[in-house]
Amino acid sequence: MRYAIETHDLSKRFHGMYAVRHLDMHVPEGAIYGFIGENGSGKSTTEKLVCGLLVPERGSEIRLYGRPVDDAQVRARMGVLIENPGCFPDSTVFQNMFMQAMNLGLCNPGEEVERALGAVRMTGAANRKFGQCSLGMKQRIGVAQALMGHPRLLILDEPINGLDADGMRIVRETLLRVNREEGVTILISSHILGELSKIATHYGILREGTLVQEVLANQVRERSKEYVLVRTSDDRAAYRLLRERADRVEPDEDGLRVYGQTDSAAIATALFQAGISVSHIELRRVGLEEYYIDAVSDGRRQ
Amino acid sequence: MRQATQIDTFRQRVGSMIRMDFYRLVHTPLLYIMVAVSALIPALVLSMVSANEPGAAQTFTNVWQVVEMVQGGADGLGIMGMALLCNINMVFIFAAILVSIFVSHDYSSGFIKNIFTVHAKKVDYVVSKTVVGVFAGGGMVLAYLIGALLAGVLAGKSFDTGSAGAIGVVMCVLSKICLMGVFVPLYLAVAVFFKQRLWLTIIGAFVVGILFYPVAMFSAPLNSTLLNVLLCVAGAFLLGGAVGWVCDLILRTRDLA
Repeated sequence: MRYAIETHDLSKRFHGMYAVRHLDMHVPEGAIYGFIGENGSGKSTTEKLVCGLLVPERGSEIRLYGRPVDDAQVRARMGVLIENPGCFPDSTVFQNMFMQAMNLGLCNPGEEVERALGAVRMTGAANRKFGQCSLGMKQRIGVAQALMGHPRLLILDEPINGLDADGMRIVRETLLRVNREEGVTILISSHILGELSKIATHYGILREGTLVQEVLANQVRERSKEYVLVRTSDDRAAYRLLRERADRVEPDEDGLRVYGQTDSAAIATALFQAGISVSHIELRRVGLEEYYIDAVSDGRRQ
Repeated sequence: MRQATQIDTFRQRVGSMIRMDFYRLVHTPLLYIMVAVSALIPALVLSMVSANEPGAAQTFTNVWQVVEMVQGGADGLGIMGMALLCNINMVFIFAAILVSIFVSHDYSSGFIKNIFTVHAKKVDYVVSKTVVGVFAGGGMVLAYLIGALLAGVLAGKSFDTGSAGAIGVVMCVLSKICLMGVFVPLYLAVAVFFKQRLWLTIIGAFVVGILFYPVAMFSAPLNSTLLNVLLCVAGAFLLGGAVGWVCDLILRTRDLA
């Protein structure tokens, strides 16, 4: 398998403390790689290292498309949004984008700026000073900036932070389109796991600077546990009854979670026969958030 | 699909970055403010020094005294006291402010991430900033000269070039512009060292500028010749190149963001 990003023994220390420790990461070509981790787990540091903005520790290795990280040909086809868009607040959105287009050496910078702004529906903000834009607008401008020149690799750090529902949808659709139509590989970190789960094909779970797990999105779905959520007239009695019939029963803010017994009809019948009325019963699947919490907890236990 | 030009060579990489930096420079009010300040300073020097120095009326009798002194200073164009420092060499200090703000904003705005994430090498950045800085500094030198000439006309000062001659004045101004090639990399080194800390950058650049002030004074007097210009060009390439290498080293070995 060809990797767009491959790191080996990647480490970075700040003031003697490891922010990233011996990281072996593999982002396959054409993947949307969701980078997950709690605050301070080293996501942004890893992305900055891949972007060449930080100097890694000796012995660290980063390869982009099989070539050294400082290869100008590979780097010319990278689009980046790290933390916040790199724009001058006193310059207009167009000027900022135009400067980046020039920096990229694009033949038609003006047209490319229009196209990129159009992709995130921000054409109307072109003449506005960047400093006067809202947080959501800035994020979309940052994504547009990263999309200029049809990059082959996108590295996006929290690109949907501060976006409203419509903004999230626009960014999501744009990323899915460039991934499917242009084969762009995307490394994206976000705390909004629900949104990430809609687009990611791979996940990398980071904890305290260490990569706990690399997993396919399909595998996450397969490994996700199913459970029955049941709401009754007497949850305490229902809990005692179901505990004997299922692997595990857990109270939930919406009712009871029943694991290991996914036949909701059988559960409803058993409760009915015990004189407990059921107001709601539903088969659910553990989401990415739970999967992530489990993975991080397992990592801690180890 | 890809609309980028090929950027295989150093020249292509630096070319695209210089175009970007020039675009930014001409779209920032900072350049015009600094050029305007450079043009206004000669008038201020003429009025303020004349008002504060004893024997005021005699301090500046000739417009070229506001520009630079003649080497030796005994031919009537030379002046003494604080007026010795109030001349075109002040532009080198203004250039420190311009370069400091220009580079520091790259860091504080985060634009540096855009620059270095793509194909740019650290040396491209040093070359581009130096070229743009020398251009802006050269513009400020010319603005100072024009300001001095206009102030001289308004104040009714003599335009007699004396032993310096018109060629000497031209060579002096050319030498000053070339000397920017020494000063700008020095300021750049300070700026990339302090990154987004603007005030430290400005203070550091001021200190460096004042340390090298005598170089600007004595390398290019008013009676300069072609040799002075050539020496300043050589100095810009040698010292500027060495300092540029230090800038490159700082950028390569330190975190950028």
